[in-house]
Amino acid sequence: MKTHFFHYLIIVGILLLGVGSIIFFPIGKDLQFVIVAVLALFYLCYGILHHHLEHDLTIKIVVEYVLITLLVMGLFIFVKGGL
Amino acid sequence: MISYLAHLFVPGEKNNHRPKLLHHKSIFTLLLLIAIASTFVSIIRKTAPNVLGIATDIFVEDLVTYTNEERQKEGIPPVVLNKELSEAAGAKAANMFAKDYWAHNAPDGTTPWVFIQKVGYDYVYAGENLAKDFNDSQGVVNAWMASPSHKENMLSHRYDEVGFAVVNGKLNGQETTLVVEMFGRRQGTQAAAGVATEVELPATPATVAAQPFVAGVSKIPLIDSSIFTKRVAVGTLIAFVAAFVLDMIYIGRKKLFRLVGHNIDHVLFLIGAILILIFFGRGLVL
Repeated sequence: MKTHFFHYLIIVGILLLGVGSIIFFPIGKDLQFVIVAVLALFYLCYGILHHHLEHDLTIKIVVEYVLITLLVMGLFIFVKGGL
Repeated sequence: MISYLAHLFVPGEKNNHRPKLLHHKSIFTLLLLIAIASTFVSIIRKTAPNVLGIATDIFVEDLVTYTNEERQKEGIPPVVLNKELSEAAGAKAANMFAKDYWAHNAPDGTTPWVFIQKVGYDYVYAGENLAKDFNDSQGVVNAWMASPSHKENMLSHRYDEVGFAVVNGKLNGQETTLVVEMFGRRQGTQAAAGVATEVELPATPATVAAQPFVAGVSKIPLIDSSIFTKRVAVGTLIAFVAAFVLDMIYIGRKKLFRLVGHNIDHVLFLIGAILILIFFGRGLVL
C-alpha cells in the first residue's frame, strides 16, 4: 500500500509540474505540445514500470497504456490543428 | 439510447464487466475517428475559413478605449491615438511577419524605437507592448494588465499618445493575430508626473516602410475551430474519466479481480490532460 502511495505521489507530482508550467509560464503552443508529449511518454513508462514492479505486467496492460497515451496525443493534435 | 449509454459507461454482464468505451477495440476506433476528424477540420479550415476558422474580433478603437479605462481607474490622464505611432506599430508587425520573430528586437538587432523614428515621431519617451493569439480586444488589454511590466507601460505617466497595429499573418508557420501597441511622448511636451529614464535611441536606424493604418481585424466564422476542437477534446476526456470512475466503483463493490491497467493512473493522467487543454494555445504577451 505504501509503495502504491509512493507511485501515485510520483505521477501526481510530475503531472502537477507539467500542468503548472503550462498555466503559469507564458509559453507558445509548440512548446506546450512538447510538454504534453513528454508527460504522455512519462505516463506510458510509469504505467509499464508500475505494473512491472507489481509483477502483473501483460501485453494487454501495455496496449491499454499505449492506447490511452495515443488518445490524449491524438486529441491534442486535433486541437492544435496538426503536428 | 439510455441502455446504449449504460453499455458504454457502466460495467455489467453485457460488456464483460468493463465499460464498452474502455475496451481496446473502442479506443482504437475512437483514435481512427480522431485522425479522420483532424484531417477533415484541417481541410475545412484551409478551404472554407468562413465556415470553420479561428474567430478574431480586435479593434484599435476598442483597444484605445480599454487602455484609457484602465488609466482612468488609476487617475492617470488618457492616451490619444496617434497616426504616426500606429504606422510605426504596423511597420513593426510587418517586420515581425517578414523576419518571422516574436520579440521586441528583430533578429538583426533592430529595436522598436527604429520604427518610431522612421515615421518621423520625435519622441522623448517610448514603449512597446506585444500580444498574439487573442480573440478579442478586452482579452489583450486584460493580459497586458495582468503582467507587471506591460501594466507599467499601460499606466505610465510618461506617455500621452499611443499607436496600435492589429495584423493577421503567419508566425512560425501558424496563423496568428498580432497586436503591437506603441506608446510615446513627443519632444517638447511635459510629462504629467513620474518622469522616468529616457528611452535609448538606436545608433543606426533601419529602413522600414510605413504601413497603412488598419482599424482592426474581425473574422467571425460560422464555427470557431479553436473552441469547437477544445470542446470535443475535453468532452471526450471527461467521458473517459467518467467511465474509469464508474468502473472503479463497480470493481470496488463487486470485489472483482481483473488483469487491467490501474484506473486511478488513467484518471490522474486524463485530469491533467483536461487541465492542460483548458489553457492550451491561449494568447501570449511580450
